[in-house]
Amino acid sequence: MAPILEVCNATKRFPGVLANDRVSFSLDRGEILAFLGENGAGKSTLMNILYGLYAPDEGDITVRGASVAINDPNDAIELGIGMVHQHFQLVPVFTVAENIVMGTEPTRFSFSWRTLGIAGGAAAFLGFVGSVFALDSVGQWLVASAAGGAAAAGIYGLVALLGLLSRSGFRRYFAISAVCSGALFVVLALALGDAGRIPLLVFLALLFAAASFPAIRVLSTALDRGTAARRIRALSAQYGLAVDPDALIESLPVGVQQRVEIIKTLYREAEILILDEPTSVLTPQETEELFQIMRALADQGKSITFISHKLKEVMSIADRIIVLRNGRVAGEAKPAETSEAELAEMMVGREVALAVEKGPAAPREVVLEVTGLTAEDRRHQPALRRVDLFVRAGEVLGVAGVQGNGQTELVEVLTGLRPATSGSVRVLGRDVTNAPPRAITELGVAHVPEDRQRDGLVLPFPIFDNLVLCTYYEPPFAKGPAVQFDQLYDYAERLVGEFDVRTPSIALPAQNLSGGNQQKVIVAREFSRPIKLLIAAQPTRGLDVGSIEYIHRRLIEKRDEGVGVLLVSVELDEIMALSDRIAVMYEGRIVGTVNADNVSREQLGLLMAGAEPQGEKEGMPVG
Amino acid sequence: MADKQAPSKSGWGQRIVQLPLWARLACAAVLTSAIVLLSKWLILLLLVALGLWPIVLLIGLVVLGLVSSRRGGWPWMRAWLSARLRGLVVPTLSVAMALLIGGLVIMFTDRAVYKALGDGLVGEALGLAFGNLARAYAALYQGALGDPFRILTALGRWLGGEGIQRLVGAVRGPSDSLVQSVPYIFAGLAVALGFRTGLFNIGAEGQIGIGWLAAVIIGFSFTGLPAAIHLPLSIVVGAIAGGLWASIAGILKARTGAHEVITTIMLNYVSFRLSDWLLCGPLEFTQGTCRTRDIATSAYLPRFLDHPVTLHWGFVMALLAAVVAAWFLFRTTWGFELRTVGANPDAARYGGMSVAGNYTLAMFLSGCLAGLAGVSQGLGITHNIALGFSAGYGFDSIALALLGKSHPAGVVAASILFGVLRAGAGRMQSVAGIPTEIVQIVQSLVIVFIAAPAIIRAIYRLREARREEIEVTILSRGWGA
Ligand SMILES: Nc1ncnc2c1ncn2[C@@H]1O[C@H](COP(=O)(O)OP(=O)(O)OP(=O)(O)O)[C@@H](O)[C@H]1O
Ligand SMILES: [Mg+2]
Repeated sequence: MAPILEVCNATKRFPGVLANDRVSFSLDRGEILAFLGENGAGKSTLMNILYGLYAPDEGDITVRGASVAINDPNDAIELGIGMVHQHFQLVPVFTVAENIVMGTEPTRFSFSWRTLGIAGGAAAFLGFVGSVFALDSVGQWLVASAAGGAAAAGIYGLVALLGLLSRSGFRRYFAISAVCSGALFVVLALALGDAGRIPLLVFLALLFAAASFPAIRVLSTALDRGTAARRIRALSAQYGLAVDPDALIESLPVGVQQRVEIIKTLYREAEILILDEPTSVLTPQETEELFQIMRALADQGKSITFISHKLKEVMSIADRIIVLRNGRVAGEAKPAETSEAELAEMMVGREVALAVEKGPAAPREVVLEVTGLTAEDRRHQPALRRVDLFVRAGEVLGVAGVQGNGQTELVEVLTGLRPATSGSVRVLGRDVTNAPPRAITELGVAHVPEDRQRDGLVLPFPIFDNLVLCTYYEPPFAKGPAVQFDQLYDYAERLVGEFDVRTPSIALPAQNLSGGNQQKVIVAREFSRPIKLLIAAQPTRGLDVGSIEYIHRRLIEKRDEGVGVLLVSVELDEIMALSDRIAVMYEGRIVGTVNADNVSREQLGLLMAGAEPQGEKEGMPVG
Repeated sequence: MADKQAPSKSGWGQRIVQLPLWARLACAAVLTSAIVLLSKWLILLLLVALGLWPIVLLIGLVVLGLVSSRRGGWPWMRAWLSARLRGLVVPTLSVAMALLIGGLVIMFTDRAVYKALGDGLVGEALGLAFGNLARAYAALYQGALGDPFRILTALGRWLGGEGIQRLVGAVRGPSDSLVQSVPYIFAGLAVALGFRTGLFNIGAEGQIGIGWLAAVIIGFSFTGLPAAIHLPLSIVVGAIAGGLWASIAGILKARTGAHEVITTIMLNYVSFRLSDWLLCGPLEFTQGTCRTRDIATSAYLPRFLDHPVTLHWGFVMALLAAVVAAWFLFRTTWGFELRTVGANPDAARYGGMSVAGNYTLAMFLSGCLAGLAGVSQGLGITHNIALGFSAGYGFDSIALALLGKSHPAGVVAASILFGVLRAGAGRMQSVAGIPTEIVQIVQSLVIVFIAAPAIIRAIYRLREARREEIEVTILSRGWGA
């Protein structure tokens, strides 16, 4: 069987970067193909090329045996290619159905009475307005507007019924409708016995033809809500994608939002699904559900390519794995015939230590002390219920738990971004409950935020600005109010080198960095100032194995320098590898704090599910 | 971090910065007074250059050609040009489209044309229509940029020893355009500053009125003050009045989250009606005129040249304001905060900035700039304030800021364009008998095409420029949250 998609020698250059270098691969019907590669290896770029967001500089794309040019996402959709981006593209205040329908410009003109009415009405109105200018009596105005309406409706009907337009191109529609309406108007003028007005009427006909096109296109999408909801339900049932079409996006957990994105592609009749790092924002449970959906889709003949940094996942779900390195295909493998270590080496080009080396901790005085902390979440529901914890200098306290059990809110309260309703937070012995973020930062607290694009970066700003987001006002970056660009550039160059941010220039806007390199910018910023306490939420989300290894090493280094580290992660492996003590959160409470040395995954799993701890609870040390 | 001294780029500017303070001050003083003394001639030169822009352009190209022949020939020149002109493609095409469609409107909004069409005289109708068009656009051009042949003749005669008066008369068009662009620059900067902070300041119109009013009140309330005190005082009071007025919306937003679009629109009405009442009531000069007394001459913004050239020092102030705004936005930590708040308020909070404080500050500064637009009109042109003073500068400035991509340099360029259109409009009306409404239609079309660059790109099949679209979405974020 011929592959459904074939890419041959795709090359893409950005100023200063060769993002894809003669990449070739093929995708079979019903296959799940995984892409692996370092941050900035060019995976997202390749996917964006398939989706028409970037034009390849060289190379051919073949879909279903035919060579195609994909100039924009509309072309891609037309070819049955759908994409779920690394960062979702949903409007939070709209409902699921609205988000799915939004932007689905009708790629085909299908016939509907309602659209017919709209087109006729719009043209009649225009005809009326136009004829008031040109003709003299009320009777003539009415005749002209009726004629305009009839003309537009007729044209629309003709066009839709004959299926003259498989794709809604303006020029073609305009030509057809102008000719039709022009002819109609001329006939009308002759019938009225008023041949002298023919030129004028032709002019008006052209105007109508031009005006009715956008009217039809916009209005027919806007009004087809009911059918949309029905189709969404049908799709959810067919592929096991449970969602409520009427729910607001902002009220949905990330995993469900992702399902909405998937339905969005299916709604547009995608045969080839592109998922860019679908699992990096999901909890293990949600990942499991996603994989079931992916399997169901593949079994029903959809082809899927997806990107991931998690070797385990790739091994478990993919039919085939392609590894990219520096924009080139570095190798291809089947999960059954390879190992995680081999894949990691193929990605990075060297052997990667998948576990960190760390000595025993030497904890000292308490740097963070939280007592009886309560807070509410965005919807004003209790999110933290009397949380007590402490972090000592020179140790890593891992906060484990299923996503959504209050970890996000805990970090936000600790960093001053969310008000506490009661309880206290003390940093270095000073009370900072509900203090402004800057007061907390200036005590030497660093924060790697969970949502890097929302809190951590100003995407349109260059990298160097993002590297001083918290320290821009301090010397040496500022002298009075004047920004010291020389110092700033030097500093940025140094950090970009030190943390291996892959970028052609420090002036690149952060939004043009690959996802993992965006994360590295944040980590670089937060690790590079004098700090006493590091609060890191999902610090390695979206990073490749090599970078994870590096960040983990830096984190342990910080610990050994005497920094207290509060590490929040949904990756149990990460928590177990780095922490000295582990606090488990469940429904806004710390249900247990255990020593990392003598706890098993299973015990942690039980705690995370809300079971009572078996081991002895640690008491507060006198610090 | 501080130990590493950056290698100083041995530039001309760098060397001046390294001079001691007194020397720097002296330099600045000498330079300023030289400019002030020569201002009359510099402005005349500018106006003549504007009027003779095709020649200036030609000279520029020749110079560029000479430079490029030393640096790498045509490829270098092409790269240089395309790097600088790329951003101009869409605006230029927008203006061209607008003029095209506006031309159609001018051609076909004449009853005579329809009458001829109705009588079956197609040729005559077309003749009439194109006649309209030609007269209208000729008038537009002359009103805005003067008659180049007249300027050339006048220039020749002046060089031949005749008095300057004829030359001054010939550059009235360019002067009118720049005069019109002064309030546009201030108001456009005001809106642009708001955009950069993620604020949609629709209230520039009202802030202009308040600034104007305050400046004029100061202007006529004191007599006998030396100009060196009176003029700056009026300017500063006008600016601060505009700023405080806008701060109301800023504070409301910062404290209560009230959306600035709504509050500034409403404050517009308050300021309109307030000034209506003041002008036809307590501040009315003679019964029935609905205008204030004229300000004392000590508060006049001086003009550069004699009648009919009305260009005044407000123009220089406006350019200075643009430079200061650019410095503030892009070279200071204050500007960094404003822009961060505008681009991503969450990240701003994360970075320890006060989002509410920056909203208030931005609104105040934006209001000051808008107030200065009123000040420049009051002290430079009308010398009083009368009922119906509002001329739509504040509303147009929203489009200006968009057109100029919220960058001060872009705003200045866009303002001059709008000034040109507006100055031409007057003449189009008086000479060619085209209603100003039609001119406003053309202006509005420019705005439509600029606000929707996608249209222009679709029509001309320009590719990509996704970066720009992203910028536009960020600019318009003010509507969100
Ligand atoms: N619009 C752009 N302008 C300039 N450079 C870009 C742009 N988009 C991507 N790049 C560069 O191209 C390279 C490949 O980026 P890409 O996003 O494809 O990486 P990736 O493999 O998806 O990485 P990650 O795993 O971190 O998401 C990077 O070096 C990136 O900086
Ligand atoms: Mg990516």
